[in-house]
Amino acid sequence: MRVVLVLADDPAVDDGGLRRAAEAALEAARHDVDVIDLHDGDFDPTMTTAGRRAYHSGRPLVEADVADFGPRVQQAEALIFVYRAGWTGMPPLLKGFVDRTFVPGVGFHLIDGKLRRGLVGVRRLAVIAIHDRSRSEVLRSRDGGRRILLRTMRLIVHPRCRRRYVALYDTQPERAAAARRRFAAKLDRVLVGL
Amino acid sequence: MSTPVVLCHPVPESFNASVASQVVETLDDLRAEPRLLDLCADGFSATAAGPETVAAHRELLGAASGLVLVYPTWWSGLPALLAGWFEQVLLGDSMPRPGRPETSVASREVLANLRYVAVVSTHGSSKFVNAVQGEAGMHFLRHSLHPLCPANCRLCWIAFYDSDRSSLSDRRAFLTRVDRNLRRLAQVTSRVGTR
Repeated sequence: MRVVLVLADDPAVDDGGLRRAAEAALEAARHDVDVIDLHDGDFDPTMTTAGRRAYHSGRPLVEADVADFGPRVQQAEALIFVYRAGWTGMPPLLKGFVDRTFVPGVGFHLIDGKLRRGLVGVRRLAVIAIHDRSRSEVLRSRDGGRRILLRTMRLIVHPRCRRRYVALYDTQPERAAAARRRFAAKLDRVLVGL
Repeated sequence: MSTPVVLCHPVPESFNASVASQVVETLDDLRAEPRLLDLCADGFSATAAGPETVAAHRELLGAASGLVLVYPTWWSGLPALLAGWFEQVLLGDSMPRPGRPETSVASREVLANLRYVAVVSTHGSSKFVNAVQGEAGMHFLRHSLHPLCPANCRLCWIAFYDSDRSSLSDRRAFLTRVDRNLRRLAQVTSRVGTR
C-alpha cells in the first residue's frame, strides 16, 4: 500500500521513539512509504497571498514549498499523520499543511460551489497523536486535531475509508509506563495491519 | 479601553478584510477604540514570532475589554496562523503543557479584563456541510478559549456560511448583520458592567 506519512512532531522534543516506531512498523509491513517531514526543510504553515489568490484559479500550489505535496498526496492510498498536540488540538504547522495542500483541484473539487471528493484513492486514514493532557481534558476541549483529520477529511477521501486514531494521553512520567506500552502495541497493530 | 480586532486573511482585497473594516468602523462609532491587528500583513509568524511582538500583543490583549476575531474557516478550523497566534500569545514560550493549572492561570491573567469575544468567520460551504465536518474552530473557541475568560465574558458567534455561492447582496447583508450584532453585544456587555 502506498502510504504518505506526514510527520509534524518536533524532532528536538523527545517523543519516546515514536517516529522510529512508526517508520519501523510501516517498513515491517512492507508498505511503500513516502515521508513528508514538516520540520525538515523550509515549510511555512501560513497561507501566502499568492497561494490564496491561486486557490480558486484552477492552478493551485504555486509556491515552492508546497508544490510537490499535491502529486504526492494524490498518489496515496493511506494517509498517516503524526503529531504532538498543542492547545488548539493540532500544531499550527500541521494545520498549515492541511490548509495549503488540500486545495481545490488536489484535495477536493468545487463544482457549482458544491464539494466533491478529490482523494478517492485514499482508503485508510490514521492519526497518531501524543497529548500532554489527560483524556478527559482533551475530550472536554473537543479534540480539534481528531475532528479535522478524521471527520472533516472524511468528506474528501474514499467513502468507505477506514479511520484509526492512536493516541497517548497524559504524558507525566509517573503515569505513563503502562499507557505507553498499550500505545506502542496499538500503533504497531494499526500500522502493520493498515 | 481598546479592543483588538484580529484579522487573519492573506489577501488585502478579500471579503474578510472588508468585514474587518466594518468591525473597526462599528467599534469606532461605539467609542470602543478598535485596534486592528492584521496578522498576515504584519508578517506574524505562526510558529516563531519575535518575543517583542508576542509581548506587545499579550499586553494589548491584557488591557482589552473586548476581542474580535475575523478569519476564514479553513478545513473547519482556524487558519494555521491564527492557531499559532493563540498558542504563542496565550501560552507563551515557557510552555508548561496546555491544560495544566499553571498554564491556565497565566492565560487567565491575559484574558482577565475581557467582557466579550466576538467571532466573525466566513465559511466556504453551507451550514449543513460544516455541521457534518465538525466545526472544529467553533468548538475550540467555545470549549478551550471561552472557559479561560472571566465568568461574565460573552462569546458571540457571527458566521457567514456558503460564501462560495454568495451574491453581492448576501455579503452586504452580512456586513449589516455584523454591525447590528456588535452594537447589541456592546450594549449588553456594558449593562453587565454597571451591575
